[in-house]
Amino acid sequence: MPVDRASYRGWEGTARPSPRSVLAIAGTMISRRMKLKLVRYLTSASVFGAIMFSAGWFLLTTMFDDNFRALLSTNPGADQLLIANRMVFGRLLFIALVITAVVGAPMIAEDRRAKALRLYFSRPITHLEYVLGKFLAVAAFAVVVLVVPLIAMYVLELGLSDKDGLAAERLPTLLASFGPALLACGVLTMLVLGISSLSARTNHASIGFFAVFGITGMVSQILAGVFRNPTWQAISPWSSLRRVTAQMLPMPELKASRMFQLPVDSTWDVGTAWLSLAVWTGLGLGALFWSMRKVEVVA
Amino acid sequence: MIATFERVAKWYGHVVGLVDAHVEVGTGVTGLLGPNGAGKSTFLKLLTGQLRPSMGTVRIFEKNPFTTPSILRRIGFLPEPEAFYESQTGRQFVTYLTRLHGFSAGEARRRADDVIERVGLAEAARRPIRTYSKGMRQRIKLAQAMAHDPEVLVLDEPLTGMDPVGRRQTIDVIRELGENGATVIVSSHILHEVEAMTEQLILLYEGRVRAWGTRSEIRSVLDDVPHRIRVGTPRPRELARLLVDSEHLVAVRMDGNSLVIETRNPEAFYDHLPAVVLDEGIPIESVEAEDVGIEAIFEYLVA
Repeated sequence: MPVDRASYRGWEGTARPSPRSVLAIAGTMISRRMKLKLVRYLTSASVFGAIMFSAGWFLLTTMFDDNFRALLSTNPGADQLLIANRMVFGRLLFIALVITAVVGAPMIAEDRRAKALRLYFSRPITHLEYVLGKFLAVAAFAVVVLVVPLIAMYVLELGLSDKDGLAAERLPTLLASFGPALLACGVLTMLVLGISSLSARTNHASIGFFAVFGITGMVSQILAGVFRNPTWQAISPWSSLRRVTAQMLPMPELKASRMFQLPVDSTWDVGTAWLSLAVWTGLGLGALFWSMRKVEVVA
Repeated sequence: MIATFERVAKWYGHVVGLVDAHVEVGTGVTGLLGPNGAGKSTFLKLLTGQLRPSMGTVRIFEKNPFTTPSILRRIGFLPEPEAFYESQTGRQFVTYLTRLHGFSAGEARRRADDVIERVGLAEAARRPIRTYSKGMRQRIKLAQAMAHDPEVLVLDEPLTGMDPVGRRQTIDVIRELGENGATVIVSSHILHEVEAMTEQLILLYEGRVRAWGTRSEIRSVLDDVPHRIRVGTPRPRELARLLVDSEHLVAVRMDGNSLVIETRNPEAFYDHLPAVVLDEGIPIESVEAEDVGIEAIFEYLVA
């Protein structure tokens, strides 16, 4: 099959990105993915799971006496929302990984397979609008999994507490929690779209996405063990994401069991983890840019 | 002129897509004819800005479609390959693609309903596309191309897979669009389909524009080439003896149980044949024009 390497309509299109087109693409993709049972289960599991867990935590820490609360944290006045966020976030991150794979892997792959790109680009839209629409659709699911539970937990703590001024007191914690959540959404979405754009088969894109995380995770752990240097973990986007988000959500010291602590190795350099995330995001973006310019056409 | 190709060439690596194409397209219906691999799809992709020419310039409404995506608001495109999200209904499919032309969701739905009715798919509009027949798929593709009322419609093999009724309806829609002032460019490799829609033709072969103009203009070029007619009969030798003196004939040869006749005036031959065979009682099993197909015409053009 001859490949037209350079001449498919590229980024030089003169039409300005139109929010209407971007939202039309994103909205349609979201409604199509919502028809998948797995997607509905995962989003429900993340939101309701977080609510159930935090409800239990806040009941323990808020409604029972100070002695019991003191058992769990060094400071009875500790930011319980931050503690709950930290404990839930790692699980949510894993659900976000799965849901971005399920939702994102077919995003561009199925268009390539169905030759739908010809239909898209016979419309007055640029590649940028197309990619933005797809990005928003995947990111929306990641946001629902990562951000909505944090908001629900904030509301829940306010509802279960009779403390005056708690809303204002906890708001900075809530807003600070958005940072790592949105960072994770951006990195995961860009990576999955980049991989999706490289294949015309949804299965290959899904496997590729998990392979990136699985293989780099194993290799990074082996290298970190062999060289006795935990910074090798930066090879893995998953380890880097967990390292960076752990740093962005600082955990107050707990007296209670280590089960409440996130099992993140915090001994390695967070700057390297940031660099790793930047490289992986750049690779996703590069794959998208490259594959959108290199579209097969039949002579 | 609505669209012009000036010395346009397109290569895919070492493979030739289109060479030295110089064509002007005005309003009305224009048929783009050529066998598979002739360069029709390349021509249409260049016209709709999906490809950049390797050489030359393509203009539509005086603008370069490749670098001016906004011009695509005035163009409707029906691609040849299937390009669907199978789980979408026909209505959702047309609405979605119409929204990409900048219409609000409500306006896009209204237009989708109108155009789906126009192509005769109203009853199936709320069914998933995966349940559609080949002909219905072609019609829903036509609907999405027409929904935003484009001034130029580019249709790549629109009649493929349609039943005779659907074919008739679609041809009527295309003709009506042309009569109402739209520019419609229809590609096909079947001559009689295009003949039913238009007089205006562009003939492509092996990536080259062999001829363009009205049908009569192109036919006049081909008038020097004799038409070939095959007559099936159990007595070909006798029939040949009777026909050989006919002034319309250029050549006669036997091929098994049939006679292959070359004539410059096929109508006169068809008038003459019944009288001859009835007088002599020669049974005729079949009469078949061998070179009315597009392939034969292109053979002549290439020769």
